[in-house]
Amino acid sequence: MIYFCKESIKMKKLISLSLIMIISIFIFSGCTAEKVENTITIADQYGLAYAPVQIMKDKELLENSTENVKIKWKKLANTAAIREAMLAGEVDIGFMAIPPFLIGKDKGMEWKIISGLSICPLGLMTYKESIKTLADISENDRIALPQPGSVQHILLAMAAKREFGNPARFDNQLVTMAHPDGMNALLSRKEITIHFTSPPYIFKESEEKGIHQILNGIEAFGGEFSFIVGVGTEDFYNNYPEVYRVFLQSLEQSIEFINSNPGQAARLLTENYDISEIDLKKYITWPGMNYDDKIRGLDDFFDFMQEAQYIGSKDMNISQLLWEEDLYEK
Amino acid sequence: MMDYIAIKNIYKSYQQSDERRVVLENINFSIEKRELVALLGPSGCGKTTLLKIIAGFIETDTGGLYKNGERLSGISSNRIMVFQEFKQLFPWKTVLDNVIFALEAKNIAKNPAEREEMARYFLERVELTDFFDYFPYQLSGGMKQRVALARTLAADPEIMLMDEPFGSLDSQTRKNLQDLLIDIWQEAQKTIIFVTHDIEEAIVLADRIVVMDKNPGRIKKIINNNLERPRNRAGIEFGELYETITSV
Amino acid sequence: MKNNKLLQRIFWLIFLVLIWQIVFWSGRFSPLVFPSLTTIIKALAGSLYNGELTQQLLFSLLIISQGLLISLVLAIFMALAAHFSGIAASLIDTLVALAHPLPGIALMPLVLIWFGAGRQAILFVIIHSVLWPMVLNLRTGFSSIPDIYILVGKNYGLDRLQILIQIMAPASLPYFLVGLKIGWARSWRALISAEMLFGAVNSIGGLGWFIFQKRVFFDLPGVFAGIIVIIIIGILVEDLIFNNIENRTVKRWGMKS
Repeated sequence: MIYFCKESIKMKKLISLSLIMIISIFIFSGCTAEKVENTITIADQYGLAYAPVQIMKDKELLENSTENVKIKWKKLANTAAIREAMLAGEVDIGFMAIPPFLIGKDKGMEWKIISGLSICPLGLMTYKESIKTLADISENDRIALPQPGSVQHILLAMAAKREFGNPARFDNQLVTMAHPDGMNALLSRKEITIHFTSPPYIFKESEEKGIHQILNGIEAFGGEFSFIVGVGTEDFYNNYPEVYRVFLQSLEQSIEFINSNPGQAARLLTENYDISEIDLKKYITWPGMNYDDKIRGLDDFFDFMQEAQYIGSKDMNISQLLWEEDLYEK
Repeated sequence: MMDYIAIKNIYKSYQQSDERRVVLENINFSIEKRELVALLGPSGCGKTTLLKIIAGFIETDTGGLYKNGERLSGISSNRIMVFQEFKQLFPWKTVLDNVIFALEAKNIAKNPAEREEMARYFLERVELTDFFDYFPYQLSGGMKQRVALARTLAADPEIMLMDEPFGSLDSQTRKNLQDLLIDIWQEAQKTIIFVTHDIEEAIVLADRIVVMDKNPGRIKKIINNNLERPRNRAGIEFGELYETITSV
Repeated sequence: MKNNKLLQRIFWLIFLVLIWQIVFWSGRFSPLVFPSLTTIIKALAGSLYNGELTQQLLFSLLIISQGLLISLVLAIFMALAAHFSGIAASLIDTLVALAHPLPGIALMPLVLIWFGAGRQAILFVIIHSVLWPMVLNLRTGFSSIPDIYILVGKNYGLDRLQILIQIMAPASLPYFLVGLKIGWARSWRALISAEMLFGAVNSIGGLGWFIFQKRVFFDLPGVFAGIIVIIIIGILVEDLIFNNIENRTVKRWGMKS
């Protein structure tokens, strides 16, 4: 009996010891996703707005002009995934719209914008004849867009504020859908009556019979703005100033390439987009489709989101939002 | 006078791969009211099949069962079977509820209170006073067969069909239950057809013993058992009858 | 013995919570990744208090009970049809073989087009994940009923309906409960994933939606609050409801193997 007790005390000691070991390993060994030295990971999403990133990758612009640094490319399904990967230290540069960047910044993400990427036609599309303006949207209409806090959501709120004084006017009618699902839902002409979308889906939808646009991005925002920007982590900016430079140059090169040789760019892109070369060329030269590394519209997004309480009330100056101010357009 | 129950010209066969196997051939006998008849025979002689035919669980090829000259067919709650398997009780009902089930099924008694009282009576009759609220899995085999007996009595059938109900019990329990069955039979005045392969059991219980043989299943001989009750298993006449049956 | 088990469980819970807090205090991880217990609890209490979480929870529970109920009725009908008719059996067994291994999430793109993104779509996914295991278990349950129960029922003069209600139902209850447990577990998972994918109508999209929304607005304590509620509901249903039903029925009857 005594022997048995001793045994069980031994067991208990063993268990507690091993638990303490496990915890200390967990605490002191560091992050689960430890960053591999000298590797830069760049993440973007699907869509024509990211075309210069694809060109940069295909032409290996960045790889050719850096030494001792490995470049990795990632495609993630949505902005939240990019943000989480950057937080975990797995991604150094991510491409996204300005509102999700601001939400992360507000919550304490250590990141800033590097450059602009594209200006795109965005549109609120519907199949309902009766809807000509925002005011025609009834309570029973359902609006599909990527997610709350997305640029589409913020633009809709901006338009709602301007027209009706209430940014949350449509918030109870939103349905979260990725763009392809949103397009399918709209084209099936059922419950989803309206879709706030971006290229190439906006092009496909506007070519569809009986689908028309109620509002475009510029009307909603009240001017031109960068749809997608490139965002870099503090860690990246501090540790790889060389790569930062080269990245900006490569980006400028590929934007320049698309703008001056849309035909060649379309040929290059057709492998990665499930769209024919002819359509691609049409899409990347569509009116309102501009690849441009200037950062536009940051202040207006910030002011609106703060006022509508999508982000907190602490003020930030421009140097807290941008690593360098050369590309900033007031 | 017409027989109470007449079993006439029963044939039964099954298709077995290429050939037809005859299980029962030319079965003829009769049963009187309140008689206890044993169907005795080795396994494979078709005695259980015959009992199931009488219960209506199985159809015959030809021939059938007649009561007061009238053909009986199908399953009926006037001919209730007590099985050998212990799991004939419903495991989700208590002992008492298993008996009440029979009363409800046959719509005996006016209200639940009366039914419960009757069920208690039948359980007391099979000497299971202290186990009303037990579930079947908590009972021994012998107790389960007592409950099955009480349930059958509660349903008040004209004929009780018993398919080796004590076959899986140890010998002491079996003897006790045989004595109990005799008691109940004499008191309730039921007609009982009792299937067994145990010669001693047949002698203890039956008024008449239908001795069967196999390949094909048929009746060899019907022996009257006039031994005085209660029967003494160690008596000389008991032994003589045992000898007679063995020599058939 | 039972008390002991409960105590052990509470002990380990406190232990895990303590480890969590120690890891937080160590400062090894950014609070963005690893929020403290207090912020999580604050988030939980806050969203319960302002009714946001409660409303989403009610939505989820309502839709899952609806889904379970519909699946239950359908499954019973299908299993009965299969039990009594050979043609129905071969059809239903084929359907089960096709649909059972198919995760509900794989059907999402189709569901979106057929049903849109609303309630119906979530309901469809729940029914898909409950119905097939339920049918499968009921089929096994019915076919494993000992013939003798049915024979006894017939012998005592019960008609078909009475045999169904008085004998087949209780005799197959153990399998029915197993089916229900599997169905619950599968539908609870399906519900949360569907809600995360389908989003909300009228801002009410259930617990999955709650978590998704917290995610897109980068509110990790809020995400944890949602997860905690999911865990609690899971434990309550398993331990309180299912164990209770089992203790009162199949365990009491000695029918649970």
